[in-house]
Amino acid sequence: MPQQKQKDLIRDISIRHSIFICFTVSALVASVLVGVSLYERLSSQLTRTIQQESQVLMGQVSQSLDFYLRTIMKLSDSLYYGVIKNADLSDGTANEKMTLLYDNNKESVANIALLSREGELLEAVPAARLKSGMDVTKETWFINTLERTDNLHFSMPHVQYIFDNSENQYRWVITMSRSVEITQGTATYQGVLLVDISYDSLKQLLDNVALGSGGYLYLASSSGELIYHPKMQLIDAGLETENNLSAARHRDGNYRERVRGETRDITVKSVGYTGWKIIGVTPEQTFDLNTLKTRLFLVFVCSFFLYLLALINSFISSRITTPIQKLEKSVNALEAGELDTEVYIGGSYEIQHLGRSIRDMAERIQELMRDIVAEHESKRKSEFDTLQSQINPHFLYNTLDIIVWMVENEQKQEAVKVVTALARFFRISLSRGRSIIPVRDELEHVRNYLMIQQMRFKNKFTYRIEAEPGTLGMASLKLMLQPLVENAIYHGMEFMDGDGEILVEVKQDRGRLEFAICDNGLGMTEEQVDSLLKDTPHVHSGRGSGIGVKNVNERIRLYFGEEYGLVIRSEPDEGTRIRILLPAVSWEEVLEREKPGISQATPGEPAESGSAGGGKP
Amino acid sequence: MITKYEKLLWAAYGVVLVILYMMSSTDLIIKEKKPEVYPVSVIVEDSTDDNYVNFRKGMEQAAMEMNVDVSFITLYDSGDRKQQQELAVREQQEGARALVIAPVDGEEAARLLEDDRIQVPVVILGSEAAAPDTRVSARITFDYYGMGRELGSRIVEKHGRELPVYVFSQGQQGEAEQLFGDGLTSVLQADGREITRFKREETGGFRKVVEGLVYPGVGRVVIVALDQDSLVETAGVLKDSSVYASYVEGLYGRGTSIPALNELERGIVEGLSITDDFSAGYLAVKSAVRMISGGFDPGQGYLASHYIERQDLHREAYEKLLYPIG
Amino acid sequence: MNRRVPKTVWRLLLVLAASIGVLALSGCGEDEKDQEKTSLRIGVSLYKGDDTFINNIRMELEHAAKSYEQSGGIKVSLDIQDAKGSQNTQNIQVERFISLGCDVLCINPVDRTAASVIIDKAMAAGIPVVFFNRQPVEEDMDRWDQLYYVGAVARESAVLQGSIVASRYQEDPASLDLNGDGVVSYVLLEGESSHQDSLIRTEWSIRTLKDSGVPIEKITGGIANWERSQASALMEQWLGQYPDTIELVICNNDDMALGAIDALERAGITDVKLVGIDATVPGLEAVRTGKLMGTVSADKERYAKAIFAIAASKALGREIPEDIPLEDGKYFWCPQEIIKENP
Repeated sequence: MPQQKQKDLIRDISIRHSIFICFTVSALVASVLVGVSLYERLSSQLTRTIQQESQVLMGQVSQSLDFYLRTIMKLSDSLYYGVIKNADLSDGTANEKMTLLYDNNKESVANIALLSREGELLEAVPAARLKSGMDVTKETWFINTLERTDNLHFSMPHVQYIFDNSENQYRWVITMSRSVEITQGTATYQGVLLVDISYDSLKQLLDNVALGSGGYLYLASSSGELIYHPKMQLIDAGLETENNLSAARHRDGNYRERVRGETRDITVKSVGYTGWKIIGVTPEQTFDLNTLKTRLFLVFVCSFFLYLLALINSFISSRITTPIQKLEKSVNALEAGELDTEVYIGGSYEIQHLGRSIRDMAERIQELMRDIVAEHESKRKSEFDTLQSQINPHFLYNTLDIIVWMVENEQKQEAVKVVTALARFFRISLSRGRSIIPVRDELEHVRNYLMIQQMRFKNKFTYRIEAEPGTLGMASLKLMLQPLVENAIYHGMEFMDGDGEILVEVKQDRGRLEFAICDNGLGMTEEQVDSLLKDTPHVHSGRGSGIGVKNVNERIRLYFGEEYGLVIRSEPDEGTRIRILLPAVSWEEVLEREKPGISQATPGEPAESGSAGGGKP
Repeated sequence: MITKYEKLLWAAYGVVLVILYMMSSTDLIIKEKKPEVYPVSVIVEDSTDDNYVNFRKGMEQAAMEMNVDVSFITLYDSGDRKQQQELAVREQQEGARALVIAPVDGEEAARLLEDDRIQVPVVILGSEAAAPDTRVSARITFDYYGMGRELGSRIVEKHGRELPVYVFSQGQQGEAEQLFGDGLTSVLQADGREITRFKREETGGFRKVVEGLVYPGVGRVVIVALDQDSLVETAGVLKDSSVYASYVEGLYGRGTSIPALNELERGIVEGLSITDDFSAGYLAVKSAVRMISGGFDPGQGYLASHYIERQDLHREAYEKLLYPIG
Repeated sequence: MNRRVPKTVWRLLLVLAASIGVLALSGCGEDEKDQEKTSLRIGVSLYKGDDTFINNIRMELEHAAKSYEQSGGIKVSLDIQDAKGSQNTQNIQVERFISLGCDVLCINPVDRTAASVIIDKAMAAGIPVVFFNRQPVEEDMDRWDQLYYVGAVARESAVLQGSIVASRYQEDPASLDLNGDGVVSYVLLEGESSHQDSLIRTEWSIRTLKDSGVPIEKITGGIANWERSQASALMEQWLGQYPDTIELVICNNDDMALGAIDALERAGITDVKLVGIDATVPGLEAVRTGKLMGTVSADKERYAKAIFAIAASKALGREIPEDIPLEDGKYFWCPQEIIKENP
């Protein structure tokens, strides 16, 4: 299931990577946002700036053109009012003055001429003559100028054709004409003052004006005819088109137009007096902060910041997560079982705390484990002791000695009894290695012991064994009664001289199995009672089986639980009564439980549980 | 722990950053489009540029608009075919990225287009001969034949059939002259006019021919000059003496040079067939540039040509064509 | 931890440095400029294209270029522009030449006092300039050692012009003194007032006549700005103002002389004598047909060859040929001679 795998993958991303990814993603988002918003802002700002600059430029050009036209108009005025009007042409000074004015305006003026109403050339600066056959009175502009006497007339640009030219030359001019009053001698009459504006000078004023990129401006008359256009020749030839007719119809201001599928912004500005209009055109796509390079730069800047931030993130997240990782390593080692590994303590306070806690836990575990080991150790030891006791040589030697003496003394019957008792005793001692045996076997075991001991101690004491019938099939711990009886004999019966009595009882009471071993021996003091139960470890008593009372108690509690065990009551000189408490469990049940899988095995014993253990002698 | 894989990623990212930087802020990878200057060489068939004044103006305009470096080259000897071919190859070697050639004649045009040495785009000016291979060549020309026909029909309109027509031309006839003359004569002949051709070198100067009108006396004629030089020369002859002028009913010709226009204005020349040379020059360079940048020009067809008389000189329709601004 | 970070950083730096190095080197692989020049580029700007003398020089310049090309095998690209009498236009043309990579400029300045603008641009671009026909002021010429001037000594032209009249007068006074009043009445057609030659030619022409003992009397004079049409107009005026008085027309150049001839022809007058300077092609034609008494020829071929030779040598980085002597290392004065009809 790939989905599952994915989910697992996501879940298992290490801290380091997830912190890193989070930081990086937020850095990316931040830098992209900043970059894009700055870009947009700058872009629109630039657009506005370009637009404003175009406007300013247009304004400047308009002013220059205004100034230019005004200068020429002033020239015309000076010529008229200063030179012609109220001056007598016949005195010949007019030409000098006109030459002066011409010289000052040579750049923009091609010809200045004064014509009479009849078309006669009166004055011309620079020197010029009318073309042969030229009759100006038939010219429309001449007629118009004479009619409308109050204005200055501006013609459309045309090739100068009134005056003689040099052979290879032609000039484009705009003719500015006005009606004037000429005085010659005493007569005054009407005439026309003509000033041919050099089209070249106008062209220079308007050439090379670039509005934004790809923008330009052109000049049109009030009716829309082109006066100047950067591509004027081409438009005339039909190779280009311009929207001048409709553009010129607008009043001053900014407009949008669509020409040949392109949207453009146009600005219309009127030039004073003449009614001409300057039209600035900016194609729309210039408003672009673009070029591939700028965009790439944006990408670069974002990436660079991302890179820096990511590096920093990486550094920071490492600092945070490396301790965690080290700690994790330690934990891994611990998991693998090396409880001795040095747990890493470092990094931030929390990590340190974690580290310390883990270390303490590990130690605790170790401790507990050690305890368990110790417990098991002791169990094993006691088992071992039990095992050993099963083969206690001293008891054997002594008993054999007795037997030998009996045989030597031809007490055959007694010898047979002793040998038989001994054999039975050892058989039950072993009990095929089991720790739990039926009560009847345990009683048999202690009976045989008592029988032997009675004979050894030459009937210093008597004994009775009484068991409730129901108890015989119950489970009992092996080698439980015998050590106590041994204790009773050696501590109690030594000095009894035949009056000693040992009683072994078994009864069942409320789910508990109760054994009692009573003797009327010396008894013990409280201290002795205590020390009996607490003697550690145990002193091999060379005369008995070697297992102490304490051992019995421990074993009972180990096998059956803390609530069971021995209770000793003793009165010095009166006697001792040791009670053994066990749970009332039938021996079959215990057998069931001791089957493999049930953790009752102790170290040293595993091979023997459940199966027919080899008989150890 | 930073794995090796991660380190590699970091390094790779760093390299990408460097590349991005170089692309965006330096000129090393993405070259800022420096306004590219296209060198274009124009080779005409004449040894002077007198007949190409307006062409040149058109070319200059185009050159300024499209960032072209135009080299205008005239031959050492007018009409030298071989030289034209050699010059074409030389210009290409010198770095011209396109050639605009006004071939001496149609054959030359064909030869040029077939010349394997010439690898750059070629614009053929004023010749109809070769069918252009539109990948690398374009054609800018006028309908000379049509112009001749138009002139012919005007003459037919204006002058009586009894007037013989003298056709003046230079010795080496260029294709334009030839076509023009053919168009002219086709109309005149269809109208049953008497046509006599005069080549300058044979006659020893048109003056002699004109003089011959008076003495030994041929009578009045209509003269058509097939090219500019002939026209100007004849006009010069007629200007000198009104006697000569009276024997010539009308002098017609082809051309847009200022002297020719001046003669038209003065009345010495009756009518002119004119061509829009400015546009031709402009379009020639424009074509060249387009072909350099990989596009191709399917060809324009004929450019504008007109017949004008004196009164048309300053008419708005023709003024800019005849007297290009700037 | 501390050890690891520097290692990563080092590696990164190494990679970065390597990439930068490689790319920078590749960017440096620009072509070296050709050491061996196989072509020349000359930018020429004429003050006015329809000045006949200038036009003649231009044609000679083109010839010189062509023959140089044929003999030397070096391609010459001659870019000739007409400033149409506008210094502004000329300045723009100069800028264009510089941006197109001209090796040398030949400038016929519109306004000789404004030559410093052109010199500035040329100096900044390291391009030598050969001025001709209209001489920039000395201070401007001294600004750089790569500036040259080719021209004809104005005084010499004037003296020669004067000597044409003088010798004619000596031969046949009556041809000049038409009305026999013992004085040769003349009118003067002058060139542009701002042109240094106008003043010098006028002054020295008259002085030569005076010094030669020719009795002259000035009727009037006018500025026709070197132009034929203006001269024509002025002459017509004068013919109207001073009928039958004018005997000699002294013109600062041939174009103006031709203009005066036009006016005379229109008026049907044939015996007035005229002298010009320049020996332009139409001028020579006029001398040949007897309309013009004489003119002063600067060997135009030599003139143009000089301009071209200086320009070509400078462009190729060579020394200027020996046969072009330079005064002060800058000025070449073209030799002149008289051209007159043989009576």
